[in-house]
Amino acid sequence: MILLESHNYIIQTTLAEKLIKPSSLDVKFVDFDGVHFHLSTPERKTSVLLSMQIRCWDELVKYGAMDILKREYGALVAPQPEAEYNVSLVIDLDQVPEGAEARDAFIMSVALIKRNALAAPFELGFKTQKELEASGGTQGELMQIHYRDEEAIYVQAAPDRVTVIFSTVFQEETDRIFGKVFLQEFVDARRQPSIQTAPQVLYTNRDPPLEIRHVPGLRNTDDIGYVTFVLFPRHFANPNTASSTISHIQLFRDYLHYHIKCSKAYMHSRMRHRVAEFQKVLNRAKMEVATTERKTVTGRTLQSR
Amino acid sequence: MDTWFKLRLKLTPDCRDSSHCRVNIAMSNVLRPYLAAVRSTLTAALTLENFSSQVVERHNKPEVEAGGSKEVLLNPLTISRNENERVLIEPSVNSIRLSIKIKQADEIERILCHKFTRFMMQRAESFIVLRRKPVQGYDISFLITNTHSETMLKHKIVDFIIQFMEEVDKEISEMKLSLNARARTVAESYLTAFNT
Amino acid sequence: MDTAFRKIDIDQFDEDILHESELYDADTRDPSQILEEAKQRQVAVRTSLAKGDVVGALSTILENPPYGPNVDQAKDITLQTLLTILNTTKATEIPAVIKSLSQDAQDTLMKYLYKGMAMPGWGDISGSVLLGWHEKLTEIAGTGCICVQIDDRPVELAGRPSEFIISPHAIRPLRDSVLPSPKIQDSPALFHSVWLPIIWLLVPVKYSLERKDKQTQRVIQEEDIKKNTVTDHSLELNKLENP
Repeated sequence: MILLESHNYIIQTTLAEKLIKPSSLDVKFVDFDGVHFHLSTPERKTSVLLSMQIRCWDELVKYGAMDILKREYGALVAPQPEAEYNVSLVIDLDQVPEGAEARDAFIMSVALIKRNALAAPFELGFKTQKELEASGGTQGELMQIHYRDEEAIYVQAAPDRVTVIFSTVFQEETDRIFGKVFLQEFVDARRQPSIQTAPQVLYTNRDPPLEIRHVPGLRNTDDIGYVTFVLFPRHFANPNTASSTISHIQLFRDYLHYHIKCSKAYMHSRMRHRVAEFQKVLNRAKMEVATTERKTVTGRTLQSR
Repeated sequence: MDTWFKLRLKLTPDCRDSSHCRVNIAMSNVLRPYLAAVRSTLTAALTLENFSSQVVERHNKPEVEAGGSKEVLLNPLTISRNENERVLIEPSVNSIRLSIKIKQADEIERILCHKFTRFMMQRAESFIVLRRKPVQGYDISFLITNTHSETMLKHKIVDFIIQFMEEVDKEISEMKLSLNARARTVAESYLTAFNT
Repeated sequence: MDTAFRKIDIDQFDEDILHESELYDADTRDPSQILEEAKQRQVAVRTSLAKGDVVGALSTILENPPYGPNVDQAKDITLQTLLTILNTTKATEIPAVIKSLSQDAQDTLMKYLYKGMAMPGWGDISGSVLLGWHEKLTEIAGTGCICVQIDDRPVELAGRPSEFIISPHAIRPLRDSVLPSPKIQDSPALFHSVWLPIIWLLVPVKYSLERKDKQTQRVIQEEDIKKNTVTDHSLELNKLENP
């Protein structure tokens, strides 16, 4: 699996299961970026409550997340979210659309709840770009989404493009160096003719890019990196492209870190193998111990324990 | 080929079948004089003898580590290819310490080398002759005592160290290549997905 | 409680302690005289090299090399001059050049090869040159030549017994000649009671011999090395077969 999926697998499978055979349910689980979910049936078996807690909810609401969720889920959105959670959906299993395909589509749309909530600033950005292009304005508002403790996404629209900046923290030296290699490849890979239409990628280590340099509270340490994606109108011209671009770019940080971890795991298994080989070489140096049977005078066999 | 190696070939004709000899033949010409020098120096230094401490009664410890009596420490020798690739051999009456500085061209190789040597040193008890910590300024150290040279075949210990030196370079560059290859695939498949 | 006293190195107050300066004899010559000599030799080497006489140049520089403290400058000059010679010699000529050197010169050359490789800054010479010379020299002069480097220390043996235990390299040939059976040699009890005293008696004799006849000494050492590598194997097998 090279690419990550933007829907939540647990929501998908649990709902599919419960649709076939409803039963009482109470599960808590998490997704990327510390998003908490709670699936439960507080009243009856056929009414499932899905609640989500997301770190940057207030910011997302500011950029219109609630509107998007209402658009996507309509009446499913509960007027009052469950305590300790930011948003809740009430899914009545009896009223789910009939037919296998419609059902799968419904389940998938519910499983995409996190993606939809996080899509708000991007959609707003794309809209602002169109407005700016029409009105000839200079720059849109710099939207900040602090979706992790020390990492944030910045989205800013301009008349001809939308800039998305990720700040990412590498927890240890190895991550930092591996991350550098990966990000360098992101910058270089675009030179290939087949992917020249992809967004432009810029990478800076330590120093924040110009667009966000005025933002207060940025850390200036070696373990931080900034990745800038420049999205051109062709990446969000029609609604379908726009939605796939959003799903895709949201997961950039997780994608990068996932592959850094994978490489580390691979290196580890390689080292394990190589060290075992060295061990064999060293074992050749050991002298074989004589295994002849030794007997006492009376004829009993000596046993070494 | 040094005399010692010739001698060994003569002694153990079956050695020609062992994988290690094939490696020796395939060994790059650039590395050969370096490894040959390490091999001959190490062979010369590996003449160890049981020797009790002169400082503490009833103690018997590797003199090269204890450093308590100067008269049993012999001249340390350095063999180097360049500033970043060197081997320090510190002989003494009952033990020798061999430290290797592994080639590290850039940040990635540095971290990979650090990971690899650390991984190995954490398993030092199964690598009997390995030291848990490298000597200052080097990446990995071995400590061979008279007990080791008595219970193990001396020339095979030398083989082990030479093969380690040979393969550690190879391993690190292969790991680096695989990291770059993965990074490329990862970047390409991510960016390609924007087209669809 | 004050624990600083625990850190005091009491050994330095021991009268019997061995000092660095006692490990070998200082050069009797005057430092300035040595420096002068080194400079003269540098000039001589240049003239030899100009004539294309590599062997002559090498023999000049390898004769009576400076050693001991206070002559760092002379050592530097000698090393630099030697490295120039090594650098200018063609790889194909090396074996012939080495063969025409005396045993002593070969030993000193090996010493300078190691010294060159241990230098932190490297100067203007590449490691492959030194390694190339090292390889050829080992091929021609044998592993014994390296052994000499390991325990080379012009020790004047006078005084304490501890100094008598110098190195297995030095002792083993003697031991082998005194006690030929390996079983006796490897028993620690016998080591201390029987032949350690003999060694104490013999070592000064051996060292005076060594100074006079270094060549024989090296042959012994070389054979010792061969025997060690060989006997290790066969000896242990014997042991295993007849426990």
